[in-house]
Amino acid sequence: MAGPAVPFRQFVLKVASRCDLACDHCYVYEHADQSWRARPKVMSDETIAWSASRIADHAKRHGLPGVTVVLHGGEPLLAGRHRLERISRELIRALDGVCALDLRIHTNGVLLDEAFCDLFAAHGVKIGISLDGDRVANDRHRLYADGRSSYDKVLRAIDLVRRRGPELYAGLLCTIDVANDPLAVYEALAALHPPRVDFLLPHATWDAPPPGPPGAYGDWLVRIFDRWLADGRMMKVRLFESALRTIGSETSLTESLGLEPSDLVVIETEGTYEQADSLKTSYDGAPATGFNVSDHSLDTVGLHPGIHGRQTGLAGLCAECRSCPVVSTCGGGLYAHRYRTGTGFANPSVYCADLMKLITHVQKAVTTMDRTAHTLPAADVAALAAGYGGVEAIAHLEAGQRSVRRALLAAIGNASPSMEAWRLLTEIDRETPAALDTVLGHPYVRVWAVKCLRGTADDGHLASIAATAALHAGVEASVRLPVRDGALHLPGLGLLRVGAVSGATVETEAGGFRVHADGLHHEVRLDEPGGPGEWSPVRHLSVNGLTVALEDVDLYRDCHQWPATQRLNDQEVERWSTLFSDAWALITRDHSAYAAGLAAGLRAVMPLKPAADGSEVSSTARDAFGAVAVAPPADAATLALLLIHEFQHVKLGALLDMVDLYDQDDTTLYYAPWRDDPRPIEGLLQGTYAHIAVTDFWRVRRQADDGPAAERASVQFARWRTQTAEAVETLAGSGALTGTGRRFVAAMGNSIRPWLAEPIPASAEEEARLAAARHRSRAAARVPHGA
Amino acid sequence: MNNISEGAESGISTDLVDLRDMPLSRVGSLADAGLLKRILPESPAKQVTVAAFQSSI
Repeated sequence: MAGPAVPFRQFVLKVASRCDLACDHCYVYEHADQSWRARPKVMSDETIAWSASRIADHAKRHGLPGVTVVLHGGEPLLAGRHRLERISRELIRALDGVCALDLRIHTNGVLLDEAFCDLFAAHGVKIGISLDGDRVANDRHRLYADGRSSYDKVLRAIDLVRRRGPELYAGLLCTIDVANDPLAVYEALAALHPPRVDFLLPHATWDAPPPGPPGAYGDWLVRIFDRWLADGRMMKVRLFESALRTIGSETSLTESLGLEPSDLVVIETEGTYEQADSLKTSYDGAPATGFNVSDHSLDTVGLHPGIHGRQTGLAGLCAECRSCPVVSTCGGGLYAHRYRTGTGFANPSVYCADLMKLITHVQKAVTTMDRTAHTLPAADVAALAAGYGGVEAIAHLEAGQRSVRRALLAAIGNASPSMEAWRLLTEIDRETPAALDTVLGHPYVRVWAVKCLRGTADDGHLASIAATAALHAGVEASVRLPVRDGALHLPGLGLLRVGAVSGATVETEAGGFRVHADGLHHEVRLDEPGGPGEWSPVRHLSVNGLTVALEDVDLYRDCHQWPATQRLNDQEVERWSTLFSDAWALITRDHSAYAAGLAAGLRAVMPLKPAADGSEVSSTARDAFGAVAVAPPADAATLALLLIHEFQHVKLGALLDMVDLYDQDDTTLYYAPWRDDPRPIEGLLQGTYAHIAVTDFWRVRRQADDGPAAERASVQFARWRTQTAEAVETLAGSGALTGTGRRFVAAMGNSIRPWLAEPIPASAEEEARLAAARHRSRAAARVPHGA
Repeated sequence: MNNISEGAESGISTDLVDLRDMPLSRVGSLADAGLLKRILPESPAKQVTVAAFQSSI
């Protein structure tokens, strides 16, 4: 074996081995392992350099995208500001260009002051603080050696960190004592608005069990869990979130639950590598590996049987745990808590009864929730399959999109350190849900959310969404927003140029907002259409009661196949307005079967840059429900065609979010008459569905237009009716459709089949045949499989 | 086979959980794991997930 089964990604640096408190529940000093007595008090510069170098080499060797380093102790602030600065700099320097660094410190807080906060802010070090609850709870264990309380100093430290915001405030760790009132502990922690909290079971083993009867800790946690749920999960609790996630087959967020492998290694002050330091509770010397940073690489440490043993998931558990019904959530509990002299770690957790109580309680909470699925009325699906779909059908698709958007937003909000934004969003959802729906309904909000969850956009936009929702709700709120490209972005409303600052505070109120950024102040009234020079509101295209955004400012709009334009000038807006009005008049007069659906679902037209070769360019994005991107078309008829065509993709994309129409694993590529490149099954389905409407458009135009326009329409109709019908046959014969997909495609065929019998001038038929043959000939060489 | 709703006279039950009336604060791990896998089948990045150090936050 060349190294660890799972590379290390978490590194705990014991930068100081002593502590200024004497908590009697501390596993470092009060439990079985007493190795701290022989250790240097602080980490030397040489060990710091070796540690940083080993971590960087390991990250490079395994191609890690990022690592987490926790500055820990003892009490890490005892290392002093200058040493902590050298450590931070050395780590940042060593990992620069290698991988991302998530640097944290966990402290008891009593020494924390503004100077430490400045240092950590300068180097991006997040601060976690230990606090066991209210004064009574905290004073039960977290005392100085002379018995003095640490409570006031810890509260002062938390206040310092809170004022610095989520960039610095990582959260609070609370060690459980069942003698404390669980709700008083919960309330005390919640009052400090931590981005995240965790409740830790006090370290114990079968040799040294925890005080209290079996199950007491489970009961204690259940009381908090119920309150936490009733409060709307307004504070992130790592233990509870991990239980919920693992019940939903997601990963745990903590080593104390779940079956995920350990990727953690500890580096002690003298440079020795150790396993998880919770093992100090098991027996003297339990965490030791015998390796050190100056002589051994991290891959060597990964070969240690203790490290390897904690990377084997279910197979690494005892038989009793392996057969337990909650093992996928429990994971055997924290490794150290399984220890018993004689059998080692091959036991259930000493907290087995507690974990069982908590997990089964959480399971019940999940199963009692309403998990109704969306239903699509048969008539609406039939209308969509035929190529149309009116107000009701679009409303059902929109309903599905609302669920998708809420799920995406919650996935980001639940993981975001910006509790301020998430709290505001959940409050608005509770009080004025329509306001939240309005902002989430903007097509490019989902585009951002998907990018964010894929790791290609940051979660700062969550605050922009929260501020926009507050504006729609007309409520007063103060939110810190990120500045991107020199502007604040309020999705669906507009952007405000604020210059080269990283963030700004937005204060919302009914009808407008004020902005404070680096001494500059702006005030925007939403009912003043022009606004100040820095404010660029989203403008709209309106005709006969239909209003859609002309979206040329959204930060995430440039997600289409073609590039977005910059902000349009007034003349360009006027031209778009005229084109849209004329196109809409054409649609409602001649193509009314599509008008109701478009009116119900079209939210935004996003102007694209014109193609260099002058060809018509339009696009939709699967994640931008309701948006159609179009380069300025030659005329209104062309815009009408592009809107109808692209909105077919919008409808089918939303339907595919709800229903499987084809086999996701199908890898065959198919000839598509409208593309030079072969297409996967979804591409062919999308194109065919869109071309039913394209065919229908030309079918109508050849009757409605005169002269050369009618002749052109006839050729287009002749070509697309034949080729779309052939594409329907390709889909039907692909073997890649689901049962619902087969019925959907059959209904598509029912729409186009009667059009094949409509009389066409022979010359148009021949011209269409030649065009189709030329395309097939051009594409044939590139089609590995096909119709 | 002419009818999309064949075998489902009133409608088609979808694979999408209805979260419209669930308070946003309760949406999340309680309900959306399957939904997110449906919308983002290729995410999160396919790296091995691991157990996070519990003695810091």
